[in-house]
Amino acid sequence: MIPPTALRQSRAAGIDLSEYDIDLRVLISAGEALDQDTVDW
Amino acid sequence: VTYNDAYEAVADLYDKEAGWEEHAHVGDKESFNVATEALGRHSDSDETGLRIRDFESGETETYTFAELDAAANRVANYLSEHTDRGARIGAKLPTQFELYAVVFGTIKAGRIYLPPAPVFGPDALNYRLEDSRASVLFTTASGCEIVDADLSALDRIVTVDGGSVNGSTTVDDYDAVREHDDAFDAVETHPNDPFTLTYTSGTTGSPKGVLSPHRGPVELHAYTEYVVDLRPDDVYLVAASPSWSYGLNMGTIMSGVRGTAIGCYRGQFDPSRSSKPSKSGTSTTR
Repeated sequence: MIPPTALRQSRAAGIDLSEYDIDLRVLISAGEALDQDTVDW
Repeated sequence: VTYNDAYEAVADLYDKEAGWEEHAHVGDKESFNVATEALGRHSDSDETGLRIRDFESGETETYTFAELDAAANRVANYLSEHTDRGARIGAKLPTQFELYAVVFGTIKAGRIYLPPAPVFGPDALNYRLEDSRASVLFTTASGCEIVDADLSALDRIVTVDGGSVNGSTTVDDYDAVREHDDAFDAVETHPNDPFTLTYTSGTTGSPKGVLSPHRGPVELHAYTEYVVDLRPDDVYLVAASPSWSYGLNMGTIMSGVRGTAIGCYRGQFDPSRSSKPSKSGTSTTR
């Protein structure tokens, strides 16, 4: 579970997720709405 | 999926009794202590029960369920000596082993955990301590500097790294906790008894205290089963402190209820350090 703010910061920092071997089964975000652009990222 | 979509997808699966069947491993509808369900029942386990990622050092600390349970028992024995059942016990601590020991020790002892956020300044901290009539505060030297040590209900402050206060409250070093026995029989509580007192954000008026009952994780069964789908062999990370309701209930309590380790982080969130590329060899964020 990662709060929306942290996800948005990660996206804004230009992190390229393709560089990571992410074995992620479920990702939860909670506390406020998550914008669609960040969902797409 | 959004929460509403997830809700619609699983609403038909809701079974009022499923939470009791799958989350009440030790207790029942008459006697239920959520700290026993989340930690006490794992007291003999050498499996990892707590994993803390430090964003500054890049290191990960791990503690077994047995180590965490023993530390919680020392807290419970300390609180039993100095407070009454139902006492409000605050913990303004960064993410560290002692924070989790206080959370579970407080709940095991039938006391009520009060979670002031680590970033609170003096006004926010002292308002909650006074309003809740907290009798003990676990904190740091910097926390000692801002606490009002003359609050009438506040009997004791326990500090993990020294410090002193201006006021009449007794100050103990955390060594006073470590000196206590590491065995403790959890206080028998009813599912409707409160285990935590959290505060609203204060967007409209002053923050209000909200008591949550021990049966809370039972009621969260459908969310945990069908939305989070949390499994015992998951590597689980909740990037939220127990001072936040989600971090307490879903991150701290529900981990052990579902049979996996608490996963959390310490330090300023840094996107570049939240997970490492697999080529460096360490696990990624799950």
